Amino acid sequence: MSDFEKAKKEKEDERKKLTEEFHNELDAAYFKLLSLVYGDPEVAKALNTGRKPAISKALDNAFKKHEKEMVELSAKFIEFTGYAYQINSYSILSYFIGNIELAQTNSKILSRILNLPSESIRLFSAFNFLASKKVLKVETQSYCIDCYFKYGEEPYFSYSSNFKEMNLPARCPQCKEPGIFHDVIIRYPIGLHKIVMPQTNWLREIIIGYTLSTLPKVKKVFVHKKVHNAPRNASEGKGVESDVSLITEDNKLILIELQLNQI
Amino acid sequence: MIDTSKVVVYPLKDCEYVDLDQGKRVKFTMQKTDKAFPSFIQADSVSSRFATSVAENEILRTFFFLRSTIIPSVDQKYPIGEHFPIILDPSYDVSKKCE
Repeated sequence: MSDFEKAKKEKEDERKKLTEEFHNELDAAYFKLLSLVYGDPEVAKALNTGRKPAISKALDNAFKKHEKEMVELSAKFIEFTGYAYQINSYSILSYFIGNIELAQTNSKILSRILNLPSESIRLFSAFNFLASKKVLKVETQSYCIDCYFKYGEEPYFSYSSNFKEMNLPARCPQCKEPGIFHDVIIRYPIGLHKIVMPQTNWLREIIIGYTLSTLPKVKKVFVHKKVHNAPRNASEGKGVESDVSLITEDNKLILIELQLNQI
Repeated sequence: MIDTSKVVVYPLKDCEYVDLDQGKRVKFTMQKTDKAFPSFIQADSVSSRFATSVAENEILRTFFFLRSTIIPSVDQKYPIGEHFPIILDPSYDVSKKCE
């Protein structure tokens, strides 16, 4: 296991441990609260009658009788917000560490059409163009791994949504190092969300279909359809599923299959 | 500019016959999963505008082919989020930071 893998595992284990501790504490507090109220003899007796006014009165009395313990428990619940904050911090760190390799792969793919980081502005312009269409919501989260690993301090983290102009730094605004990772989140609206499913390539099929339709020799494009051989004087074939089918100006048929998000 | 009339994503007809060269003919029908595509019936729908905008732009086109993670959201208006992690410096080597 590499040092990086070890660091990844360590952080994930810490997050899991903290989450488990949090749930145990929370469960214990809830159990104590419920025991106080429902363990009260007056409440137990009222519950047996099944009469709502009697139950309501008994619960009111129980809350008054155990007011001090209730206040103590409430204070405990407030303490839990600290846990929640810490778990959230670990979750963010764990998410970014877990996706570093993915980010590096994506960066290498993007650098085939853009000189990164010098031409980052072209990437931002593309997103500003998309944002101007008002068809979906774009959010970004940025996290500096260098801040975390190199200086061990509270790392740089930022979040933005509904921006008009995307501007992601290539270097961390805090430590000035290049280890700043960005998570670009595309939020798909109702309707469009149906075609963005895990293990499918439907959205990509549509993008390829529209893109290829701009080729001058392409007459028509069918996206995600079944194609049957249909001779005029014989029975039709069962057909095959095709991701993208092109009909060219000279009436040729081209079938295109897309691989599942593979590099 | 994309001519959306050239692209059939969600057909209004059950099937469509197309004559090919050398007297051949093919028929296009819906796949079972085509039921997920009705938001593409109208050329000016949000879904169509999104797909054409991405298809027209080479950077966006590439971006939407990057590796991603799909995470459902509680947001009723935007029920699905697709996360694309990126780093703007492709030469950055995180493994060295752990040494």
